[in-house]
Amino acid sequence: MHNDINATVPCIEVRGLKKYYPFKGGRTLRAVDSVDLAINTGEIFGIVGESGCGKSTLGKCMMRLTELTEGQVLFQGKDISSQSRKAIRSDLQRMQMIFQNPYSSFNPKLKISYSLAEPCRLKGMSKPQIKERMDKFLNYISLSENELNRFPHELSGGQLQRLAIARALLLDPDFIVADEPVSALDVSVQAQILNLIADLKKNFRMTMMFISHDMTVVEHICDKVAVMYLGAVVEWGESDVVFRNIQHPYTQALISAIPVIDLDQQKKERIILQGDIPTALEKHKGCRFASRCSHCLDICREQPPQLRETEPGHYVACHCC
Amino acid sequence: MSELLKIQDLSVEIMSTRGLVHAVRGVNLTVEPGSIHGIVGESGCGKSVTARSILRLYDKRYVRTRGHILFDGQDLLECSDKQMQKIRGKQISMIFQDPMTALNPLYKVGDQIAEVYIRHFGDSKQEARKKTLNMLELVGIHPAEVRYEQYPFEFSGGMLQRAVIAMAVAGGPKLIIADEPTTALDVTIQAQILELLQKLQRELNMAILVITHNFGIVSEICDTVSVMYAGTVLETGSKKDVFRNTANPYSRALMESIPRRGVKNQKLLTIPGIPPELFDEIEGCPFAPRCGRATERCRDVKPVLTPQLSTGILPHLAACHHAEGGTDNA
Amino acid sequence: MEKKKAFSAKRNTGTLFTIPVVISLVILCIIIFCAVFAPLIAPYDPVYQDISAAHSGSTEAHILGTDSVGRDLLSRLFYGGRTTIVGGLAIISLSILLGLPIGLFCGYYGGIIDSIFMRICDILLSFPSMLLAFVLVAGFGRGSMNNAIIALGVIYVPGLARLVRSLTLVEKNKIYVEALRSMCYSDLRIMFVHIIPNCISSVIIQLTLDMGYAVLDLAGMSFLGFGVQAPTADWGNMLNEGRGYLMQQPMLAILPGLCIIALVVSLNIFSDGLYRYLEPQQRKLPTFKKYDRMREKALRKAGVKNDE
Repeated sequence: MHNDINATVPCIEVRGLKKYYPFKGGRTLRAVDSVDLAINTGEIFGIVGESGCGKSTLGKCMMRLTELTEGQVLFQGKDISSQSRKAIRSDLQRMQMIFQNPYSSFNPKLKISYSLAEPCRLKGMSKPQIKERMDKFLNYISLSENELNRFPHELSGGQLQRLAIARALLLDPDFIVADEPVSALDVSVQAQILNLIADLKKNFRMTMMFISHDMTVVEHICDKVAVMYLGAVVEWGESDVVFRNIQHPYTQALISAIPVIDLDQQKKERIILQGDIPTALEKHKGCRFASRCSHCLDICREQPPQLRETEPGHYVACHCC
Repeated sequence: MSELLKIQDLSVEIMSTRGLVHAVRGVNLTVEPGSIHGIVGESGCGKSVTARSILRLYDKRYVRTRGHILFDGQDLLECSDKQMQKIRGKQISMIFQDPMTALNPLYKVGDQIAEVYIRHFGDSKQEARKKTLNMLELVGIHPAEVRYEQYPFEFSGGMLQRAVIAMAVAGGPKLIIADEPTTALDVTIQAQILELLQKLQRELNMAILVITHNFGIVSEICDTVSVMYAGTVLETGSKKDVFRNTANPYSRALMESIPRRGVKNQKLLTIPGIPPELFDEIEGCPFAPRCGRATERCRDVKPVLTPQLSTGILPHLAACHHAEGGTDNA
Repeated sequence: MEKKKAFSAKRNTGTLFTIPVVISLVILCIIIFCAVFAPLIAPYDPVYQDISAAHSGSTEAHILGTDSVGRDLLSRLFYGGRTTIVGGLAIISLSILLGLPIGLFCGYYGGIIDSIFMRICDILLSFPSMLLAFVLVAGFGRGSMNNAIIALGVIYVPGLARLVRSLTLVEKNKIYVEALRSMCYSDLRIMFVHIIPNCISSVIIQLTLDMGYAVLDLAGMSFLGFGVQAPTADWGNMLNEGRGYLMQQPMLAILPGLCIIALVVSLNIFSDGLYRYLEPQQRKLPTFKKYDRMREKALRKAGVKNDE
């Protein structure tokens, strides 16, 4: 695609992104609160967190589907956060999105073939061009023409999600945001989709932001990972490095909470977080996680921790690490 | 051995706008008293329908059941509606997937739980309140006095699920059916709820029937497991047997298609094809069209549950023509 | 075995043509046929006055008799159907032409435009509709059928706009619309190519229902002298004229009245059938009792003996 891997310009970069929603009672919901991240070309960047941590909002802000409150989004070095959507249309067209629920990702009244071809036509591709591209990707997602001539309700979730991926790829995007693309699917189908994404990454050097609540899935597929809690990144880095040595207490709890299938691996002591996830309404003076953290020190309640590089390629926002 | 719940050849047909759905086709399973049994399977395999038929939570005009559901030796499918009323909540109770809609938003959470005591034990209001406060403490809703007076919308999802569990436990049931109890919750909250269920099961010596699509949950909390596919049980037995000496190709394929911690950049195993539609009769093994080992026999003859290698006292059964006799074929 | 399979595999796809719908369609077809081919099948000119034959009962020349000025009742009924149907169609066309875009834009964009239009709709809806129509007709000038149609058309806009708006609000929040937005579709394209087809079935159902009411309202206006003016034949108008002779010649009032009822009831039943057909969730499921009967019948037909 457009960038050299060694070039210093990442595919997409987010600087100090904030998204606040006004809330009743004059309060503000800090859905995303100062997030910085950079995704390089050919990378799958995982964003993990529980519901309400702002991971989906972050994705939508980057796609300009919602307006951001503050901060910058740089797409291939170009600021796409300040101009109107119309002015940066050609840039936005090079970014695509895949959604959680494949059943409602397609217009129910239109045949799949139309839903797939329409965006290409609007982009100015000719009919034979579209046909050629479609054949190429259909082969990839192991579906046939037969499925194309049906309506969304006649297909299974797995087929639809593969088609949704194909629709995104048909436009030859430089960046894809996948918002929980496998959460609504059964495990066997989830495996198909994950394999497909891994394949595509290898063959097309696809750049993707993979939003998920499932640690194991993210570990399986992502090159880099960022863990979000209440609108901020608490730990991020190379996925290999991070998962080998998880440092932030929240990430540790998150990993520990996952039910393990292998009977032999279950003996370890489990960290069970007490209490609920607080809402992002309150302004946090210190560390956001302080109220649920078992290692909480005095400083944690006073001063918000900054992201620090604790080992090469591993950043943690915690006073204790 | 005296089973608490024994489902025999249960089949359930449901009328839908698209036709008659044979959602459950001859399910056999047993739940021992004081144990946790997990039914696991993908969406549409009939696990929820099975659970709902136990309490007969369906409209008789559009749902038809055959077979037997023996609870303490009594066939629930033959009980009168009045008898069922007495069993629901007191003998068997249910926890649903979405805690947000499981409670009536117009009444105080505490009063809704107290209602169970008033209904099933004829307690006075004061007594019921006292018991409810104890129950709230037991399921970890603190401070009970304050929480008693609150309405469902003031609770978070995890807290609500605790309240729902409190309500289910209040009648002192011998069996709790938990239909995807943690699917709507976050992982850290899920861990809390699973821990709570285990604790209650130990302390109150109830049996729990957990319906889930998550193999991890089954493996963490269940004693015995049944794997369902297309309305039938393909494998059942103690957790150890099912997970270690997996005899059915479908169960094995499902387990291997889940990404595991610490394993990276490895292709996940996938199951080709899609589950069969449940409108028609299925001849032979329901998994045969997607199974790599399917033979002529699999396509023609429906396999029945047969004993497999078992490491404990509980039988390990699997329905597969290739698995008879134990591990030599596995 | 094979036959049994064939039956169970038959999906209940639902049919539009249930018995009430068929009956209503037949009635509608007869009315429309008579209206369209009125010049060919009507024995007389509807405004031709044969004073000598005034107030004749059923005779060989005038099957249904004549009115006070000797116009043939049958011919006037045929031509009256024309006016009534054209009037009804014009009213709902006008309302959809205005209501659909207003509802669509308000629902899609929301905000201040939405508030303004919806308040206007609220105001219009807070008046009794006929009264409002009278005021409008009085404003436009009485005595022309077109003015009555415009007035009634305006009356039907708020209801339709609100329906379209609420449907748009539902569709707008569906993921496929967000997906289209993420692919940089223009708002107009999303609205007109993607949202409209998804709410059109509800709109059509509402329109058939509105058509019935519009016919009724137009007849009412004509009856009160605000709508179609004499000597043009119109069922409402004819009802009004026949009213004076209810004792002497009741058919003059009864027949146009019956025609109106037939048209409106048929439209209502048809609309209801359409609703059940287009919105499958609303379809009634057969109970097992009924299903078993159907199944047995199908099996017997297929020549399979009851083998269960």
